[in-house]
Amino acid sequence: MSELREVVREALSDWGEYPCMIAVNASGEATEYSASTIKSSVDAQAHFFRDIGVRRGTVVLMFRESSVDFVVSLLALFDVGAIPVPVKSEYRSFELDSIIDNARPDVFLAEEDHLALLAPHLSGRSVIAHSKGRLRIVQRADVSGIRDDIPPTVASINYTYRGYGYPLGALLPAAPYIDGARKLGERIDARAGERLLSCLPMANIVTLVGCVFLPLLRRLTAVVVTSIHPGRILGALRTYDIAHVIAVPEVYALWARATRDDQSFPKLRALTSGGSTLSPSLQSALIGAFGVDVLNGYGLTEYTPISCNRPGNAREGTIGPLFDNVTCRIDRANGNEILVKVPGVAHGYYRGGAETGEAFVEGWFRTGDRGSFENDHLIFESEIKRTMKINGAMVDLEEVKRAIEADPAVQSAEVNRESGRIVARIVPSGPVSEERESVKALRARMKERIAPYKVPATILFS
Amino acid sequence: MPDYSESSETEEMRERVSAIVARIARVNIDEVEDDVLIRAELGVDSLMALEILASCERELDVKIPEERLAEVEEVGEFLQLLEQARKTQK
Repeated sequence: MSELREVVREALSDWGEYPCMIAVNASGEATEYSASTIKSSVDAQAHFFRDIGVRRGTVVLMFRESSVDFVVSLLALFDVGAIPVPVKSEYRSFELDSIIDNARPDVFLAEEDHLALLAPHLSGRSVIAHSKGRLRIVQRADVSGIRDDIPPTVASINYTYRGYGYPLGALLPAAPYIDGARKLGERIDARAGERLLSCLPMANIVTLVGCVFLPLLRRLTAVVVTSIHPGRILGALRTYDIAHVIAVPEVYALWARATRDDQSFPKLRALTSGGSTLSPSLQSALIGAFGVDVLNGYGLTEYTPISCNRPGNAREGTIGPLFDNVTCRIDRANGNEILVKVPGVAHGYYRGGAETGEAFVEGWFRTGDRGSFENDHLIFESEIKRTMKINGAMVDLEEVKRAIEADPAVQSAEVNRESGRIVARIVPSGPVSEERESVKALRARMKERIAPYKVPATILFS
Repeated sequence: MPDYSESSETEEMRERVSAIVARIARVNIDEVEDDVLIRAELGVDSLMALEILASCERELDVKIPEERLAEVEEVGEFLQLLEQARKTQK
């Protein structure tokens, strides 16, 4: 963790005469932040955190919206040596209960208007609310530091899914944030002084590595936008001279469909894609729409990045060559599962001995994905685990099933992926007079209980 | 003489919006009725909703704050939102 602290301080102290970050709000107004401003803000927040007892090893739940403020808070927690647990702002009680029960954070750092969701868990914890760039201490409690069951080299706990029906807290060291970000930056040829667009949720490891630490360590200006509305993005690509974008295929497809022949993006150099499958047809469409390299890559919460195509040599249908610190083999005895070995992979899953034992075997990490090699390019074929990607976000079908079956109106449910959508077939617990209204009401209750993107597209009564 | 221009404008807007929704949701245009639930019954996810919004803004030359999308459940509600925006931004 001290390495992370030093690396961040060094990066912010040795910046050029250009912004470190630019925040673009929903109205399109931009605010520039110099490296010295970011550094001062990080110092001030680190001081604030220390004042309330946050210290090395303190586990802090971050339930925050993506923003420059998010980055400042994250860097400040790393500066103190605390262990942030970044959680998606879309999560609801089902996910939050599991994560909080597992991570047992001492401190909540949340948006003011997200506090209601955390209400059942506030007792006995320190709570800090963020609103409009300011932090407010809501309540104080005793805060602990280093825990015996968390290795001292753990930098963060990042939750992921492997089809068990509940999230697993990957114990990440600093390596993905430092080595992973540097290697990805080298691979896509991101150069100091260029600008990179950050538009994905910052609680995702891909965003943290690719859109927070990559620009920081390679000294690019991160342009942080709050909307992926195609009109706003296509304008931002030109207005802010964006050279690099890291996003998921579904978001790229949305933008590609909105481009016009008379548009150009003079500074744009590459679109890097990850998080879900990039089809060859979409890749071609993106090249046609934007006129730049499309670099498809692959990463895991447990370590990012694993592989990525190179500029000038991107091969359709592949997720690119491995990074030089990654060893990979295909387990033909287990459905061609991709296994990886990489220094700096997660230590395991927090308080998840059985799940750790199943995933981390004899130095190899079992990805739960099927793949193959075509010469030196890795190919992603499908998922083995009972999860699916919705717009780049992982959905655990077992968790969706549990969430539906927790509803008093449901006796049992089967949840499957059908034609790229989540479909639930339910047996109601009582007579249903108006099926359409019952589904509408169930869907509304589900959205209060679980992240809205996980609510099945189709709910049918058996 | 009754002024039919506003109602015909509204009707034209309705047809154009229904066509956009049908195209993006990949359903028949006949399925896009006022009381149909955009997400639940047409299977529109968050990205599709954003694409529908962006396409309608472009074709109707209006601006809708994205956060208003979350308030809309039915096609009819979306049409009302667009109609209000069109009138205030004229």
